[in-house]
Amino acid sequence: MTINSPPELRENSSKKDQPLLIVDNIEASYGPFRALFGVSFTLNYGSSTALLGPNGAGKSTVARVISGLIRPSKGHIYFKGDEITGKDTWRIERLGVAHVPEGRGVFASLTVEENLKVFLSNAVPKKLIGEKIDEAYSFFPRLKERSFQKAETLSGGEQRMLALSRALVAPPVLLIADELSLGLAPIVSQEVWSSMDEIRKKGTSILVIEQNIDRAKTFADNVVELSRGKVVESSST
Amino acid sequence: MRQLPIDILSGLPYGCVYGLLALGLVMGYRTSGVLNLALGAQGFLVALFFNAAIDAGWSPLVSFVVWVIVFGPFVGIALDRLLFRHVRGAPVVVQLVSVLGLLIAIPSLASVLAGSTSPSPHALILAPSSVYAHLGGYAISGQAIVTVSITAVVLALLSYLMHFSKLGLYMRLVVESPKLAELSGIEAERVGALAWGLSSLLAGLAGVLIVPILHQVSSFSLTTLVVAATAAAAVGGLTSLPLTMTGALLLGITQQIIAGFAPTSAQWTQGLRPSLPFVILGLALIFHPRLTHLAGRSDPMAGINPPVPSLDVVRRQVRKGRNSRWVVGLGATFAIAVVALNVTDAWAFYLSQGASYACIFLSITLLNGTGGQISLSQASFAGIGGFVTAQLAIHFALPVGAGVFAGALGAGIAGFIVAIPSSRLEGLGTALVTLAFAMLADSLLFPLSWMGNGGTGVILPRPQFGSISFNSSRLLLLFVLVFLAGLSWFVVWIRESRLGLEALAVSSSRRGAKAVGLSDKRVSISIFTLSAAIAGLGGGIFAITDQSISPNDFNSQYSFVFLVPGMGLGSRTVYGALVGGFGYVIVKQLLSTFAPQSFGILVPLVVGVLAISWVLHPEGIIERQHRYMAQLKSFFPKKGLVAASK
Ligand SMILES: Nc1ncnc2c1ncn2[C@@H]1O[C@H](COP(=O)(O)OP(=O)(O)OP(=O)(O)O)[C@@H](O)[C@H]1O
Ligand SMILES: [Mg+2]
Repeated sequence: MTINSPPELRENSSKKDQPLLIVDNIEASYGPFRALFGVSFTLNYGSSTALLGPNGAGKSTVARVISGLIRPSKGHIYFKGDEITGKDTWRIERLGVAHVPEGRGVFASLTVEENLKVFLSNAVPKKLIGEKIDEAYSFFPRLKERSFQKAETLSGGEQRMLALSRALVAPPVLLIADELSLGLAPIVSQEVWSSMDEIRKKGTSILVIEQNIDRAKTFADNVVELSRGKVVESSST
Repeated sequence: MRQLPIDILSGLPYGCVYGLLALGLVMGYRTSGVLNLALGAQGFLVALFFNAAIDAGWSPLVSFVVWVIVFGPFVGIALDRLLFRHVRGAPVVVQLVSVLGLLIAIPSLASVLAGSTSPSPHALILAPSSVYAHLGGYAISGQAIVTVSITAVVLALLSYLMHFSKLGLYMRLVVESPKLAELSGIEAERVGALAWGLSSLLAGLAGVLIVPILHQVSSFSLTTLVVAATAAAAVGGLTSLPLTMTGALLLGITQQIIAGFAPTSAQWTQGLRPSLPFVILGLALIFHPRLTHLAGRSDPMAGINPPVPSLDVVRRQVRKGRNSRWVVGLGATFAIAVVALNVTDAWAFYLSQGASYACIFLSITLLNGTGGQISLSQASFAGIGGFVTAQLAIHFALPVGAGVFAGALGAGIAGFIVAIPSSRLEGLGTALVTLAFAMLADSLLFPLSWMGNGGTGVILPRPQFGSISFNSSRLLLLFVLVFLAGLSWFVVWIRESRLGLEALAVSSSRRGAKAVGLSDKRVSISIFTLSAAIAGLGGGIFAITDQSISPNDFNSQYSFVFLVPGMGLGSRTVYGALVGGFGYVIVKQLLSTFAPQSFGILVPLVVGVLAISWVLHPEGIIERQHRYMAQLKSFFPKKGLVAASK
C-alpha cells in the first residue's frame, strides 16, 4: 500500500534540522500532584524521538501537555515556531499535531466506520474521506470485517489499530503515539512499526512513547529518557 | 366510537408541545449528560418576554424573532457557558442540583425582569381560538394549526441537522469524551453550546405555543410539562429523537383519550389524565433496558482529570471525639431549654416549623451523606407523613403524638415501595424514579379524600398528653426540639452502625460492595426507607405545628427546593441539616418582617445562587468552612516545630 504525503509534509523535508517542536522547561500537575519538573527537549522537522522511562515517569503527561489536554503550570511549548502553550486541544490538532493517547482512544458508542470518519473529518478534505477509510481497511483488514460494529465490542488490540489508523492514512505534521504497540500481536506490531517508518519518510515527525526500549531505540533518531518528571538523559542514537 | 378520532386530533397539539420539550431534553442530555429539568423554566422565560413585548405593542412576528429565535438560543448558550459545561461528567447529584437551582432561580429572575408572573396569551400567526376548519366533527382551532405546523417544520429541520450534518455525529462523541473529540480536532465546547442553544430554542417554542392552549401558565406548570416530556424522552431511551417524538405524540393523544372516556365522577379518575406521563416514566425506568444502566459509558480519557479532593479528610475533621460529643449534647440541651423558654409564642411557632424542615433535611443527610443516594420526593414523603398524622387524628381520634409515628410508618412504606425499583437503577435513574413518584403524589395521591381531603387539606388539633395540652407553641417547641435532638442522634448512630458502614461501602463502589458479599439492594432499600420515614416525621411535626396540612405544603416543587439547601449546606453533616431547617424559617421570617415586599420574589434567586455555588464546591458550604479553618491552621506552624528549627 502507498501513503500519499500531503504537500505540507513534502515541504517539511526542506526544513530538515530545524526545530519543529520545542518543549521548554515544562512543569505540570494533576491537582496537588506534581508530575513534571522542568522538562525540556527539541524535536526537529522530519525526525523522530523516543520518550522512554519507567512507569509513572511522566511520559504520557508530556504528551498531554503538548497536545493541550493539560495546561502546564510553567514553561513554554513552540510548534512550527509559534507558541502553543495553553492553546485549546482542537486548535493544536488543526495545526497538525495528532496525539494517539494511551489506552483505548476510540469512541466506544460509535461504529468502526464512524470512528474513522470522525478521526479523518478534520484531517483530510471531505471528498477523500471515503478513500482514506478504504485505505485504513486495507491496512487493518480486521477492521473492515467489523466496520459496522460498535467500537466497544472490539478487542483491545483492534481498538488500538483503529486509533492508530488515523495517523497512518492521513500523516500529520507531528505524530505523538503513546504506547504505540501495546497490546498488538507481534506481527501486527511489526507492521505498525514499518508503517511508522514509511510515514516518517513522507515527512511526518514522530514522538513515540514505548515500553519496548530496544524497538524504540532502533526506530528513533533521538532518545529522551524521563524519570520522576525530569529528563535524565537526552541523546541521539 | 365517534369520540375517538376527535380525541386523537385534539391530543395532537399537546403531543407536539411535549415533543418539543422532550427533544430539547434529549438534545442537552446527549451532548453533556445533563438532564435539564430547568427547560420548562427557560420556556417560561421566553414566553414571558414574548408576550410582554406584544403587550407593549410589538408585532407578534418581531417579538417571535427577537425572543424565540434569537434570545431563546442565547439563554441556552449562556447557561452552557455558566454552568452546563462545568458539570459535564460530574456526579449526578451535582448536575441535578445545578439544574434545580436554575429551575428555582430563572422564573423569579424572569418575573422581576418582565414585570409579570404569568404570560398573557397572544396569537402567533392565527387567532388561537378561532375555528379555521372542521375535520370529521373536530373543530380545528388556529392554535392547533400553528402548533402542529411549527412542530412539523422544526422536526424536518432537526432531522436534516442530525442526519446530514456533522453536528449529529459530533454531539454523540462530545458526550462520550470531550477530550477525545478535541484530539480529533473537534471544538467540543462549541458543539455543546450549539446543542444547548438548540435545546433552549425548542423550550422557548414550546413555551410560546403552550400559553394560548392552557391560557394560565406558571413556571410550575411548565416544569410539570417538562417532567411529563421526560416520560417521552425516556421512551426514546434519552437518546433516540424519532422515538422520543413518537412517544410524545402518543402521550398527548392518550391523555386526551383518557380524558374523554374516564368518568368524571370519581376523584381518582380525574387524577388519571395528569398522572399518565409519570406512570409511563416509572414504567420506562423499570423496563427500558437502556435506562437501567444510565451510569453511562466511562470516558476513555477520564484518567487525565485530576483526582477529586477526598471528603474523608474533611469528615475526619468534622467528626468529633466521643468526649466532645457529650459536650455538644449538654450544650444542645442547655440551648434548647433557653430557647424554648424564652422565645415569643410566634417565634416558638416558626422555630417548631423549622424543626420540621430540619427533620426533612436530616432525611437528606441520611440518604445522601450516608447512602450516597438522591431523592426528588422527600417532600412527598413528608406530605404522606403529615396527612396520615392528620387523618388518623380526625377520623380515629388517635393521639396526635402517636399519629406522628404512624405517619412516619406510612411514609416509610411509601419509601419502601419507591426504593424497590430505584435500587435497581443508578444515578439519574434513581432520581427520575423519585421524581415520577413526587409528581404522582401531586396528581393522584394527595387529592384523594382520605389523604389530602380532595386537595383542600386537613385541619387537626394539637396533641394532648393526659392533662398536658400542647396548645402553647412554646411547650410544643420544647417537645419538638428534644425530639429533634433524639432524631439527630439517631442519624449519627445509623451512620456509624453496621448499616451505615455498609451503605458507605455501597455508595463508594457498588461493584466492590457486591464483590465482598454485600447485598447492595438490601442496603440501599433500607437506607431509603428509613430516610422516607424520617421525612414523614418532619411532615407530621409540620402538621401538628400548623394545625393543618394541605397538598401545597409539600408538593413536588418543595422536593426540588429542599434538595438545594440540603446539599448546599453539607449533606453529610447533621449540623448542616439543622442549620438548613432553622435557617430556612428564620431567614423567611426576617425577610417578611424587615425587607420590602418585592424582596420575597428574589428569595428563589438566592436559593439558585446557593445551588450553583455548591455545584462549584460540592463539598458543601459548612464543610468548606471546616476546610478553610484547617487550611488556615496549617499556615501557622506548631510552636514546637518553630522552636526545633531555631
Ligand atoms: N489523573 C491523574 N491524577 C493524579 N495523578 C496522575 C494522573 N495521571 C497521572 N498521574 C501521575 O503523574 C505521574 C506521571 O504519570 P504519567 O501517566 O505521565 O506516567 P507515564 O510515564 O506515562 O507512565 P506509564 O508508563 O505507566 O504510562 C505519575 O506519578 C502518575 O501517578
Ligand atoms: Mg503513560
